[in-house]
Amino acid sequence: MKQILLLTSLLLSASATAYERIASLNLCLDQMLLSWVPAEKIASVTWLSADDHYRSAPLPENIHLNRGRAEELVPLAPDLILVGEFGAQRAARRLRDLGMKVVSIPDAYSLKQLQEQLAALENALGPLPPLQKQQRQLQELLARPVPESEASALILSANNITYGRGMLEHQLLARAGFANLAAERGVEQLGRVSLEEVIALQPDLLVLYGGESDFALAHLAFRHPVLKSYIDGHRLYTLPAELGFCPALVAADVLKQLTEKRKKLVAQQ
Amino acid sequence: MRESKKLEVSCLKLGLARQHREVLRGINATFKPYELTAVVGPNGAGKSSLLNCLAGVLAPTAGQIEFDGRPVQCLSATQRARFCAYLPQAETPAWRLEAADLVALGLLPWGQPADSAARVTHALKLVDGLQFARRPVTQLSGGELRRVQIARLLVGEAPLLVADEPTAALDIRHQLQLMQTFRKLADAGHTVVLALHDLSLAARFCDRILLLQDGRLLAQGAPEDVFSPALIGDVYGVRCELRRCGGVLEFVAVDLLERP
Amino acid sequence: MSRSNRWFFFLIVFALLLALIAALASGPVSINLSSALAEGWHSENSDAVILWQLRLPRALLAIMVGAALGMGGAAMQGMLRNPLAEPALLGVSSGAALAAILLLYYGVAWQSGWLLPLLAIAGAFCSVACVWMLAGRGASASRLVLAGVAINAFLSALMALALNYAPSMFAMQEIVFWLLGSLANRGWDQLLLALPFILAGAALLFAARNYLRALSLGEATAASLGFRGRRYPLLVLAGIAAAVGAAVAVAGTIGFVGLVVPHLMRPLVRQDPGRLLWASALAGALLLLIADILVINIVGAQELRIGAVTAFLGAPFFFWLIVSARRGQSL
Repeated sequence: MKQILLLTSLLLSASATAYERIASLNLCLDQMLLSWVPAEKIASVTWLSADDHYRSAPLPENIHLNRGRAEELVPLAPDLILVGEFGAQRAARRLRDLGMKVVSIPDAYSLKQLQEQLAALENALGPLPPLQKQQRQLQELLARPVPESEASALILSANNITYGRGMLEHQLLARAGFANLAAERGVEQLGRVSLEEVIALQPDLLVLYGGESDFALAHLAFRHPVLKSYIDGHRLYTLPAELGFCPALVAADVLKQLTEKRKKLVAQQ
Repeated sequence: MRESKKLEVSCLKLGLARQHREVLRGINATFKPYELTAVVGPNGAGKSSLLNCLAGVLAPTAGQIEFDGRPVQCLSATQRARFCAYLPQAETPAWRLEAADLVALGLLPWGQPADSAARVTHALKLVDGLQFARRPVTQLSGGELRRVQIARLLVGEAPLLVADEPTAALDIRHQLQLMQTFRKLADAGHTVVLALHDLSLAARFCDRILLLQDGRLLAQGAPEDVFSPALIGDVYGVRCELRRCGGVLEFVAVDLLERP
Repeated sequence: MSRSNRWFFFLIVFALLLALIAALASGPVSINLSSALAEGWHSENSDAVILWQLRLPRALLAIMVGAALGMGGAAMQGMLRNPLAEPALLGVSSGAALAAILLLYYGVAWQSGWLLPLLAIAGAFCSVACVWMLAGRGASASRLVLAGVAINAFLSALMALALNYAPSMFAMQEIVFWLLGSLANRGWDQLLLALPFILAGAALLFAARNYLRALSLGEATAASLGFRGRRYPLLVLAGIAAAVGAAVAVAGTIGFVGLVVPHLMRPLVRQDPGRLLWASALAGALLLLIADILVINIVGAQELRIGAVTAFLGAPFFFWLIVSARRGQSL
């Protein structure tokens, strides 16, 4: 095990990008950098990345946590600053005015945008093996024809929110061979679904949006005894929280797992 | 008026301290059946405190009270309430109760007797209040309300009746009517104890007077003895006259006395 | 009880049954009610599951919580001899809600089991005791409302503070639930959690009914009628805390029920504070069930908080109270 770790760390350092002090002003870009770029090359990430709710990659010690202000970043003298499409725009403009290299990476709300996002990131950072691997994985999955839907699914997120047509979550369900019942009922983007509707629609798979372990009434529906049959019948799948704020990290894995789940469900039937 | 149960009440060296102030000190007194007793004295003399002790609202801090020779501590709160009915000063009902329902509250120590409706009617008849039995108490005049409250005292047929300033805020007609009612109740065998400010009413209707000052019992006895000009002058600082006129004892406060 | 009053109570019970049927029939999904009923408890059929596992517990919870609030309000008004006393207005509900928030968001979540209602009841008891000590029994309406507003504001601020620092990202927006209440997504588990405590509260208040009757003539008279000592007020306080605290723990603070319902019922029980307890329980159940039916049918899945609806129904009664007080009837 140790040897593998050593090997990967060697590989990581070998895959050096051209930049030595990268800063990020966007939570999702933070996570991608922390996952794919050697820690010593990251100068700063946003403070949100230190929050337990969002942290997926380990946070190196002594890394500067910024709150999206230009004056924080200037003394760090980063050689590349990554910003998202929204947020911290004023800081980005000012840093650009100061002659720093600021690259804007688009957000991703669909599979196509996801590919564009990864391409833009590669463009900015140079070739990175883990990034390329993720790109390859996605490309492979997308190259496959969209299967006929063999089972139905419904997403139940916090506060009884469900995801309909036009959302990345919907695309993943469709590509995994599930008919998204919310989309079939005409939900565009986001909609509400009551527990009664969940029971009446009888989805083969109930998809929860997870990630939150702390108590909130928003998750009360998940705990309702009426969903017990889904838990007992293993007809439950929990989307990782990262899918919500940085799908690039997990989209391929989720798609794979959902496909597996669909196969298992169909076999059961 | 129906004959009632008899109860003799004695206070033995009764003392009461409230907030480090002694409001009653060493009261020795006995209240007998067929007797209408008035507790009189200047403001703050301890009249209400004595009545509260008799009714079990306040627990004396010294001495004791005996009902027919038995200490009241031997009785439960409910048993005691069956012996003694109490009308505090300025009792105001919180809700718009109907008169008959207010009277029925007097039966609480007895639970819910089967004949409660008949008893309420009887008690209201005693105070001549049947005509407003179904009226909300908030719509009654002061005199009518007091009669309803007296009916509440009578409904349970407790032998000891205690009322604090029952004649306050009533016109003279209602005052006389009320005192006649109490007189009749005493004649029927009740032990009646009233706190009174009006000494002429006390002199006219009561058998016995208890004169209190600063929590001490200054004098007790028949009105003729207690209402002596010297004693009244001492306690109230008022010059008074007492005369008997056609069988009625009249007490008249004439003038203020110059106090040294 | 006069004949017309008895008739009226049959009407309320009948209305409660009708409302129950209406509640079972209303929801975002249309189900075949009679066949779902016939299918029975254990059926896997989705109509039956919706009826037995979702709608029935929710409707029964509305009835239970409404009854607890109505009864709590009647007891509170009786004990303080003041028609403005109400558990939610006087901070009792906020005390229970604060305790529940501290336990749920910082502690052991729903797994807490019995701890949740118990702690909420303790919170409720503390705030009733605070109001009681601050305003005093037989306090004037203004002093009482002042004490209640002060305690309520303080507790609401603490609730907001507690939710602000709660670890969950959703906590802050859930202040709305705790301040206005909700019955959404509740099941048999919450119902069974609160039921024993509400029943215990009802039993305590029932035991204290004669004390409340005697108190309508004032404290001194009540003492002379045999209701002496701290035992009786403590009985009432514990009863209010148990019923209202358990209700708040599962449904949040729902206002106006405890204030309006005893007012409406008082003339029907001839102002008797004892019979007012169960009359208010009955009418509170009806009011909250109707409010919940409105919540389900008018606003659908995006649920308007039930407290907003009860306030909507309750506020006009308050107006009527003020107007009738101005016309010379005492409050």
